Amino acid sequence: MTARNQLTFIIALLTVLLALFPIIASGYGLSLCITLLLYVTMAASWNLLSGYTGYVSFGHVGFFGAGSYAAAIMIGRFGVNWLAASFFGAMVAAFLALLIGWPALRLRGPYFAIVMLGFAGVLKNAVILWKDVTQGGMGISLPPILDIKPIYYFMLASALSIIGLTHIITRSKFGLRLISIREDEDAASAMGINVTFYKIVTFLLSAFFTGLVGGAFAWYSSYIEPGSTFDIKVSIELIIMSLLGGAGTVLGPLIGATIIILGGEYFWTQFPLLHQAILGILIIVVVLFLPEGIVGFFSKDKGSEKRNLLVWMFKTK
Amino acid sequence: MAVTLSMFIQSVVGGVFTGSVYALVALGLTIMFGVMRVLNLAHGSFVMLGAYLVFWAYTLFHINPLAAIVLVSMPILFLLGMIIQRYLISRLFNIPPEDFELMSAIFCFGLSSLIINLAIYFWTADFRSVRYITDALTIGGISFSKIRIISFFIAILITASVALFLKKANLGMAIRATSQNRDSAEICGIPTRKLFLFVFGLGCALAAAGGSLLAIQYTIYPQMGDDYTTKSFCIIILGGMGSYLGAFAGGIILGLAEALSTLFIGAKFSEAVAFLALILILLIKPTGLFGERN
Repeated sequence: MTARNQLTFIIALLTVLLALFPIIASGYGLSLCITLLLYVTMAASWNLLSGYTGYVSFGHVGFFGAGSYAAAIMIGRFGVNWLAASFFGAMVAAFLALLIGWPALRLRGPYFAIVMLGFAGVLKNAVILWKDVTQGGMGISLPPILDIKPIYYFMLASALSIIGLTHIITRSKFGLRLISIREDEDAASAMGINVTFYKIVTFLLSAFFTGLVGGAFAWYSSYIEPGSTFDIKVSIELIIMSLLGGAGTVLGPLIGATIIILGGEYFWTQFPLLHQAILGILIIVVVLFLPEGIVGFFSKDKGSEKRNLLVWMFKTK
Repeated sequence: MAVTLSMFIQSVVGGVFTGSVYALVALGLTIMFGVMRVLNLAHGSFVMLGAYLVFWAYTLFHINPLAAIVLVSMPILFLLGMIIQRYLISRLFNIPPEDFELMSAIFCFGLSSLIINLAIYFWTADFRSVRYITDALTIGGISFSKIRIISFFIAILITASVALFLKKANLGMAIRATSQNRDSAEICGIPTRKLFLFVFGLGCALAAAGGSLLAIQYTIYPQMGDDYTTKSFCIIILGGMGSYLGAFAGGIILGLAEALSTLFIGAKFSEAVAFLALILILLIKPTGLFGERN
C-alpha cells in the first residue's frame, strides 16, 4: 500500500469508528473525546499555519477565546442557535486574524512569535475590561445542555475538515507555495509567488477553525471566563502537540494531541497538583530528544523528509 | 476628573520608579538574548524565584530584605542559571543557529511551566508580602512611599554597576564582543561556551534582583512573573534586541507610558500600552530605538 492509500485508509477507518463511538460510549468517554477532538482541531489549525509556512504563532488561544466569546454573546444575548453562533465565532476569529495578520505577518521569526504572544494577552485584557458586553471577569453563563452528542459530531466534523483540508493543501500547488515560504521566503517572492496573499489566507483558515471549535466549546461548557478561555498555556499545548506528533505533517497534530490529552487525563487523575509541572517536563523532553516529532521519526528514510522537521518549521530566512 | 500638577508629578515619578525595575529585568533578558540568542520565556519565573528568596530569607532567617537581594537572591539565581545553562540549554546548541531562537523559546516555556507549578505546589498560590519599611516621605505636598524610593536607587545602582562592568571589565568586553559576533569572538580566543555559563547566570541574577525589589514593594505570588516576561520582551524589542542602552531606556519609557496612560486615559488601558508600543515600533522601526541593523 502506498503512503497515500495508507493515509486515506487510516482516516476512513478512524472516521467510521468515531462516528459510531457515541452508541457505546459513556458520558465520560464522550466528553473526553470532545476535548480530544477540540484539541486535534486546534493543533491541526496551528499546524496548517506554523507547520507549513514556518510562522510560529504563540497566540492561537486568542482565536479560540475570541470564537468562544463571540458565540457565547450571540447565544446568551440574542438567542441564536449554537451552530450559527459557532460559525459567527469563527468569522470573528478570522476577522481578528486579518486585523493582526496584516501587520504581524510582515515580521519574521521571534518577532512574529512575540507579537502573537502579546495579541492573546491584549484580547484577554480587552474581554476583562469591556464589561458591558463580556461581563468582564465574571464570565458568561449559558443554559446547560442535556445532549452532548451533537457537539461531539460537530467537533468530529471540524477535526476531519481541518485534517482533510491540510491533506488536500499539501498535495496542491497552494501547499507547495506555503512550503516554499517556509524554506526561503525571499526566494519564493522572487519566483513570483504572492507570499503575503498565501500567508494571510492560511492565517485566516487557521484562525477560522480555531474560532469555530471555540464557539462550540462555549456552548458545550455552558460557562466561560477570561482566565481559562485565553490561557496562554493552551497555545503552547497546541505547539507541543504538533511538535510531538510532527509539525508540518498531516497526521502529526492528531497523534500528538491524542497522546497529550489521554496522557494528561491519566496524570490529572494520578497527580492532580503536579500535572502542569509534568507538562513542563514533557515540553523540555520533546524539544531535547524528539525534535522531529513521531511522524518525522518514523519517516526518516523518505528522501526530503530526512531533514529535521523542526528545521523546516522554524526556518526564518 | 481634572489632572492637577501634583498628580502629574506623582505619576511621572511613580512611572520612573516602576520603569527602573522593568529596566533591570529587561537588561538581564537582553544580555541573554544578545549573547546566546536564547528567547528566554522563563525570565518571569526567575523574577518570581528572586522575589520568593527574599521573602523566605526575611520570614525564616530574619535577614534584612535589602541585604538579602545581594546576599541571597542574586547569588542563588546566578548559580541556578549556570546549572540550567550547563545541563539543559547547552544541549540545544545542536539545533542549527537559524532555528535556535524559537526552539529555545518553546524549551524555556516548558521550564517556566515547571518552575511556576513547583512553586505553587510547594509554596501554595497565596499572596504574600514582605513588610519592611511601610511609611512614606512627603515633599511639597506630594508623598512617596519610602520603600519605593529605596528600591529605585537600588535598581539604578545595580543597573549602573552592570553597565560599568560591561563597558570596562575584561569579562564585560568579552560579553559585548560575543554579542556582536560570536565567530570573531571565538577566533580571538574567547571561550564562548564558558562565557554562556556566566551570561545565563548574570541574566538570571538580574531577573532575581528585579523580583526582589518587587517583593519589598508589592505582594508576591507564583504567577507574578508572567507579566514581566511579556513586558520585558516588549521592552527589548522597543529598545532594540540585544541593546543594553535600549533595554534601560525602553524600561523607563514603558514605566512612564503606563503611569501616564493610567492618569490620562484610565487604568483599563495601561495593560495594553506595552503591546501597542510593540506593534508601533515593529511597524515603524523594526530594529528598535537603539538597535542596529545586522
